[in-house]
Amino acid sequence: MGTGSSAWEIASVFVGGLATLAIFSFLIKENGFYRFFEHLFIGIAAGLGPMLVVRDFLWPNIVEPMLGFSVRTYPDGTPVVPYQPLYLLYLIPMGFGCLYYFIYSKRHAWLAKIVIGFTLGTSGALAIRGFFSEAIPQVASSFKPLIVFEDGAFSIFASFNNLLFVLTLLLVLNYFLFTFGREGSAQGKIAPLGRPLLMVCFGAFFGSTVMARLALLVERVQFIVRDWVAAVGTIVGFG
Amino acid sequence: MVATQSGDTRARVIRFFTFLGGIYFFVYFVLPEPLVEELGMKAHHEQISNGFIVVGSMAIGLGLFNLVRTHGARCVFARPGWMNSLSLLLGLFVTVGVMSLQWIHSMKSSGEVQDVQMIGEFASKIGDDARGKSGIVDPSTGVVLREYASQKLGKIALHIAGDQEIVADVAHEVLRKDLASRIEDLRKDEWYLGTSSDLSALTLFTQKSNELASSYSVLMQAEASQATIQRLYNFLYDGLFNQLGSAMFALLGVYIAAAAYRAFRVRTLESALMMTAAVVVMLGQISFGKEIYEEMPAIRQWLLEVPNSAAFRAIRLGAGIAGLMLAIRMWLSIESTSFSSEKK
Repeated sequence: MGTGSSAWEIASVFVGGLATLAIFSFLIKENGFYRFFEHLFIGIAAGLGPMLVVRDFLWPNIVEPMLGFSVRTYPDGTPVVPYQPLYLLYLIPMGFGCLYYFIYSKRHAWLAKIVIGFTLGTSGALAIRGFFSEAIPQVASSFKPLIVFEDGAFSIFASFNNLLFVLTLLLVLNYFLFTFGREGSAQGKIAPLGRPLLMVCFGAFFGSTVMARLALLVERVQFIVRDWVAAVGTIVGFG
Repeated sequence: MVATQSGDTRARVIRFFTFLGGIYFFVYFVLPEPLVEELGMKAHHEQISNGFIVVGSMAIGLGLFNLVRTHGARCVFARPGWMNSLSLLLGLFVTVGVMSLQWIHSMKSSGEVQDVQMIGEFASKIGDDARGKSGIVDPSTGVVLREYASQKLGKIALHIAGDQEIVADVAHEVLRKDLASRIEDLRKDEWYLGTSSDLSALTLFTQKSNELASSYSVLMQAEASQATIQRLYNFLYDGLFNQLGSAMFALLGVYIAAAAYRAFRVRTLESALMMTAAVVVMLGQISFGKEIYEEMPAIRQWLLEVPNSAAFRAIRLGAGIAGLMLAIRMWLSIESTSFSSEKK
């Protein structure tokens, strides 16, 4: 906290510290203080989400041009960009989307299923596209050269790395392959080799996750010790 | 019997709309790009995609309504946990209220900036029109421009005077002085005064007007950042939301570590490998790891880039294929039994 900090900044740090302590109080046991701030967090998140959708998407892209609010005219009355009546077509998806609200009617709830189905269908098609655009480049980049030459000389380290990469990829993929009968087949016999490699991967994941969260924990503790204590000091008159 | 028939029809309608929902994006993906362009799909893709998002975004009220209904009832009837529900609703309504006010405020500011930008835009348009008519500027539109510019300059001058009484810091003072000098400069401009009406004078006026609009925009942004509603928004977002989010995330870190300490036992070669990988990654990320063994960060890097990356790619590919199957089943309504028939 700087000496010239405004009242707003001090209040912000003070409440932020209080919220952090409330969340950490869960480490002792579940309590009302924690529950209050947890619900407050959910409330703020629930308010932020819809407001961001309306402010950043619905209003500028749909409602504003549809109602003609984005139409600007020069001082002599000629339009900068004329009104586009085609924007009124957005009333169709809007009306269709309103079918969601039939979910509250026992008699007409099936109408809500139409729009839910439509959204699921859209998500399904987008997922198909997403898979191919994401997986195909990954498959292509997995075909690494097993013998690598660097500056005209054979590189044992790079070759070993590529060999290990390809072997790990194939063994782990094979471990998850249950389509054909495994018993007695060569595929079934080499399947257990994928497990230790998977364990190395899970261990690395675990280490990365813990470190990321601990880094944040350290930042929180620093915030409490430095900023929050200073803010409290300012409030009670020691700052 | 009649009810069953109507149920089947409904199920068919739902299946049809489910298929319809995916057909556009599927066709757009599978068709070759030249054909997509020829059919006009590429030109209107953004607008069409927005239409799909609009359908989904209509559901936002559903979530809000459910939250208010559930937690509102708990508050009204003072059921157990009503204080928590109250804090949730408080957070919700205060956020919606503050964001709405901040949005209105920013729209008003940007509207005022756009009005000032219009001086330059209109001057530029008059210049373009004149170039199309062998360099002759229409005198009547010139008068309209001068009147408009005069009106807006007066408004900015008034704004600066009013602003001086509200915000009195050094940074604002510099911006205000800069803007005032630009207003004075524009008021002495030959085109503005009507002493010259040729295209070169108009071009100079356009340039000065654009610079004035940029200065005004900077001042308005500086004012917006000092506005009470913006501070209130920062207080909610940075002071509460971000802090609570970080604290929750950090809290989970403690629980992950504690759970691993309690439940994880090294009894097999595989569990030993897992623990070794985790320890190497953790030690490799901190300076203490380098104290133990100089090459620890390099080993960590190798572990993440070679075996971990390969195994993770295999997991992702496997999960991706499963996701692809699920997506196809969803799109073709094979997956959801609740949609297939009303009888179930």
